Formats: sequence, C-alpha cells, structure tokens
Amino acid sequence: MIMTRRFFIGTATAGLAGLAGVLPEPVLASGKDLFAAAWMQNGGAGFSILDGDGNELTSVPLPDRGHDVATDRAGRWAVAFARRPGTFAVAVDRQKGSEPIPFSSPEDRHFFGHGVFSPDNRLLYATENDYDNAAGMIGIYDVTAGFNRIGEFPSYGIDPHELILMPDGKTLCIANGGIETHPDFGRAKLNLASMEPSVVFVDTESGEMLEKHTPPAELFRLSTRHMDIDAGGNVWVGCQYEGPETDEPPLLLRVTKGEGYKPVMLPDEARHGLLNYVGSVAANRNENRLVITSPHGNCALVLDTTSGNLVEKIEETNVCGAVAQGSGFLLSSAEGDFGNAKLGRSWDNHIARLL
Amino acid sequence: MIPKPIRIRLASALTALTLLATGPGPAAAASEDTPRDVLSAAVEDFIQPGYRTFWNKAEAMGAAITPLCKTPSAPGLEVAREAFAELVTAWSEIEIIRFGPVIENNRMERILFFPDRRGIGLRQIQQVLAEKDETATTPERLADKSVALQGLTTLEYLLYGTGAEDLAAGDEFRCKFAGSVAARIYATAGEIVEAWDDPDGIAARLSDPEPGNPDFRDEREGLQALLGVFVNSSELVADTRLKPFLGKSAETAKPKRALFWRSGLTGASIDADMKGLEDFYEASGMISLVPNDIERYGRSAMFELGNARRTIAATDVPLPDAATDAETYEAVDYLRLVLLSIRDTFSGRIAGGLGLSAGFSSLDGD
Repeated sequence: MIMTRRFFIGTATAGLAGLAGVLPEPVLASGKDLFAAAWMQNGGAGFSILDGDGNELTSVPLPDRGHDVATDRAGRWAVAFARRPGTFAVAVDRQKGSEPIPFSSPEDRHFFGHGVFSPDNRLLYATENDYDNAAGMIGIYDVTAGFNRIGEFPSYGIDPHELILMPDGKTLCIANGGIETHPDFGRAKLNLASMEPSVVFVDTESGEMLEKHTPPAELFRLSTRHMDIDAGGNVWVGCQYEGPETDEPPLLLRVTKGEGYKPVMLPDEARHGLLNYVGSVAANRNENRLVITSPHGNCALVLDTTSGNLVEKIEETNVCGAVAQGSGFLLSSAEGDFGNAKLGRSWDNHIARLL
Repeated sequence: MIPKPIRIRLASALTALTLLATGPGPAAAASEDTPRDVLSAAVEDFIQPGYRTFWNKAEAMGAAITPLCKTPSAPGLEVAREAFAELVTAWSEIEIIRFGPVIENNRMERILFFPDRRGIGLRQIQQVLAEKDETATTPERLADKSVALQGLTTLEYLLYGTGAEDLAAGDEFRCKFAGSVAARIYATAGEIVEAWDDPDGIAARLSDPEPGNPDFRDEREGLQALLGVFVNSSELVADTRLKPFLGKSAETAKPKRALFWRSGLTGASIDADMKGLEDFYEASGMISLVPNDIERYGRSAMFELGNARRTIAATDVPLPDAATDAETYEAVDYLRLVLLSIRDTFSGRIAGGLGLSAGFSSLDGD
C-alpha cells in the first residue's frame, strides 16, 4: 500500500476573510464541563463554546453552515468543520484567545463535517471527498503548523462521514456512508442504485486498511454514518436507510474490531420511530449507556451497551446533538434546546466535549 | 449558437409581482379538510392517476416503435419521437414522488438513470450497439442487465443520438433495442401502478395511517411524506437538472450535461416537474391545513413557480443553449433560484404551519 502524500501550500482561504477581527476570549477550563456545537441563526452560521447550562463562553461566526467540532486532548483546540460540501474549517485556540484560524480543504476536495485529533494533538484527521474520483479521503493537517495539510490516505470507501480514534491511539475507525455526491450536483445522491457503505479500520501510521466491514448485500442502501465507542471498545454505528419505508433495516450496528459487526435489534416501535434516520450517536462510557438521536422522528433512544437493550425513549422535537454528561446525556435540537436551556440558535447535528 | 434574440421576462420585474402576492391577502376560507382528506386526495387525485398516465404513455411508446421496426421510415421515426416527448413529460410530472414503490427494486434508476456523472450509461449503450448484444433486445433479458440501460436516457440516445437516423432507414438491431427499452419502462411503470392500486397497499396506508403500518403510522408521518415532495423534489430539480449545465456563468455553462439535451426536451422536462409540483399542491389541498397567515406563503410559492414556468415558455431556444448566452443565462439560473426558494418555503414556513418540525429536511444525509 502506497500512502498518497500530497502537499498543499497556501490553500485557498479567501472566502474566510470575513472572520478576521473576531477575537474570542480565552476559554480555559473552569472546572465545569464545556462543549462546542455548530449552529444556524437567522440565516447566519457559527459555532459556540458553552457550558452544560447553555451559557455561551464564546461564539465564532462561520462562512456557512458548520457540522461537527473536533477537540484536542490538551484543552487547547476546537476546530469546526463545514457541512458537506463545504470546504472550510475554523480552529479556535482556547488558551490564547487569538483570532480564529481558518483553513480549507484543497481545491479538489471538500469536507464532510467531521475530524479527529491524533493522541499527541499534533495532527488532525478530517474526512474528505475526492469528488472527481468518487473516493473518500482522510486529510492530514499539521496542528503545529497552522493546520497546514501535509498528506492524506484513502478512507477505503465512498462518503466517509464520522471517524473516531480507537483506544490504541493509532487506529482510526471510519464510517463510509457509501453515497456518492459531487458539488456540481449540490447534495444530490448520485448512486442510490449502487451504494457501498462500510465501516473501516485504518492504521494511521501506514495509511493501510486493517479491516473493512460491509453490510450484507440486501442492506446496500444502509448508509453507515455516525459512531461512538463504548467502554469495551465496541464501535456503535448509527445508520440512515435510503431504501423503501416499508423495509425494516437495523439502524444501529455494533462493530467489534477483529470480529465484525452485529445489527442491534431495537423494539419495532422504537426502531420505526427513528424514521430510518439516525443523526448522531454518543456513548456514556462510565454508565455503559449509548444514545442515538433522530431529528426526523423527533426522538432519542438510550440503550444499555452491555445488553444492547433499550432503556429509555426521549421525545423532543428536532433533537439531534448528543454528548455524555454526568450520568446521562446532554441533547440539543434545531429548535434551540441545549440541555435544559433554550437559545435562539438552531443547533446542528453534533455536540463535542472540550477536554 | 443562438440564432435569434431571446425574449424572456426579467426576473426583476417578477420580484414586484411576487411581493404583491406575498403582501397581506384575503383571509383564507376556513377549511373543512382533515389531514386524512389531504392524504387521500394526494393519492387518488395525483399519485395514482400520475403513474397511470406514465404507464399509458409507456405503452404508447412501445406502440410507436413496433411499426417503426416493421416499416422503417422518417415519419415513423417522427411518431416515435413524439411518443418519447409525451413519455418524458408524463414521467417528469410524477417523478416528484420519491417514496414508496418507485424506490423499491431500483425502479427510479431503471426509469431514469441520471445524473450519470461518469457517463456509465452512454458507454454501456454504445457497447451494446457496437457488439449488437442480442441480450439487450428482449425486455426479459434486458431486465437483468445494468439499470442504466433500461430507461429514458437509453431510449433518448437510440431515438436522437449518433446513428438515430438509421432507424428511419432500417437499423433493425437499434430498433429492437429501442423496443426492448420501451417494454422495460412499461413493465417498471406497471409494477408501480400495481403497487399503488393495491387496495391493501401503500395507498391505503398513506390515506389512512395507523400504528400497525410498516411505513405510515400516523397522519404526521403521512403529511411529512407529502411535504417532502415539495422540499426534496424542488431541490433535486435545482441541483441535478439545472445546476450541472449552468456552471458559474454563460462562459462556463455545459449544455451537454443537461438531461435530455439530445432530444431538446430539457425545458419540457423541467416544466413538467414544476407542473407536477403545482398539480400536487392543488390536488392534495395540503395548504388548507395550515393557518391563514401561513397559507399565503404557499400561494406565493406557487406564484413563483408559475413565473418560472412562464420563463421556460418564453425561452425560444433549448434551455441548455440559453445558459450559454450571457443575455439569457440569468433567466435560466432564475429557475434554479425559484426552486430553492420553494424548498425553503416548504421546509420552513409551511412545515411549521403543518405542525411538522421546521427545517426537518435540512439535516438530511449528514
């Protein structure tokens, strides 16, 4: 396997010029849990760092709609990514309170909205679309050099969406949604008759694929998109089904490295309530709990990760963002709900925890 | 090359009219319609007849090809091309329905394989023609081949693409292939009609949703599907039927990326998509379920759609060519903007008025 390394100098950040002059306050750990999430408000976009009570410590404008925020382990960086097919990312240095640092995917790539830091916080991996070749890529950005893009490796599938770092600190687990899109066609899905979803484990040192898990042929329209990892190292993957409404596909898979995947069977009523769409997945590893959310179904399901059993169904309009908090979860919605607070912002799909 | 000046109504002039339409209007009449009335009307007055019409046009397509193969002639080819235009119109009007039987068994892709960014379909068609692959000339065997070979884009190439004139002179293989494709479209259409006409099938479940259904378990889920027709189809037409050939300017427009550029039916197809949305709006009566102060947004959206259709009607060259002329580029791009505006109106105001979460589809696919 030859790792493709392409160097891009001075990637186009012209569209982000409007960000200059924004000077967020330093946002240091205050003893409280802190979170980050992207939002839309009155046609504008941005992302905020806030506490669990919905008090915003800082907010940063984005040139267009963001999606997830990647955070490092040193309590320094929060990086918001554009929603597909956007090409911008914006990094905030929480310790310095300096101007946000914008950076872009290269000319022939766009972001999918997710990224993850390396264990030493020196590299940032982002899911990207090599759209002319309909190939998923993981872009590698050098955190210590202004988020300069220093290379990439394949995601070994189409449409890589969320990715997580496994406990070994060197293996990435990537959810390839399997849906071909190209910016020339907006967000249109171009290959519904031949989708290829997969969950892939990749070695970050070599860029080589270690394992690939693919749903069976009859579930080729089951797009694997969001994930989190439980205390036992199992990856729980939330799916979005592109097939007929009358099908009853599993919408949650449990993938175990070295073993394979198992569909997680949910009670019929709860499964149906998701309306074939899981928008985010979050684990609470201390409590052996997992939540999956469906803004379409206006509900969130909490499961026990040891048994896979449904524990609770939460009904909330347009709920999607989810992250572990205390013994439970903090949820957000496009209606402005952030935990128990209500803000005038439409929260995007994800909430990230600042470490 | 555009032979003569093109008369197109200016978008700026339309803005004033749109404002009029969105201004304070008369209060809507109180509606007696229930959500179930709306769901039934959508099924009986739009979806079922729409698919039946498409099926009938597919039958007529085959009926036009059979005599052409028997007695090749230029008039015979012309008859087949007219049947094709009617088939495209019928499909475009009903293709806004993107749930239910049409997404089973890749039926939508079998009927229309588009966009085909890498030209897979064209390559496969040319290969069949070059090899005179007999397995493509009977619908039964064609059914097992690539979905890209079984629908409207293949038929268009056979009727209008390189070598199409040979149909008038007796290209037996090409004609048999065309007949086989028409038969495949007819068969696929028939499957959809049958599914929607099944008294215990999706029509009953959507008209009369109940908790035991696999798909529509309450009125809200039914209405969400109806709302999705406006939201998803307007975006789909904007993003896959207009955006690809518009490029960023008249200089960068790519007319050959348009659907049906060979037959000159690009505009007719987009117009029929828009007519489908208008008819669905009227037939379903969905707007009667929203409060009066929201209803005017629906009226305004339909007014904009009418303006867009008039713009197409006033364009006297094929739309893809109009996009290559700086003077008319904006008018074609205006169609795209109208569709995106309709998407936003329905995913925002109308969704809210129906009690469905506003912007529900804006989270799609992420």
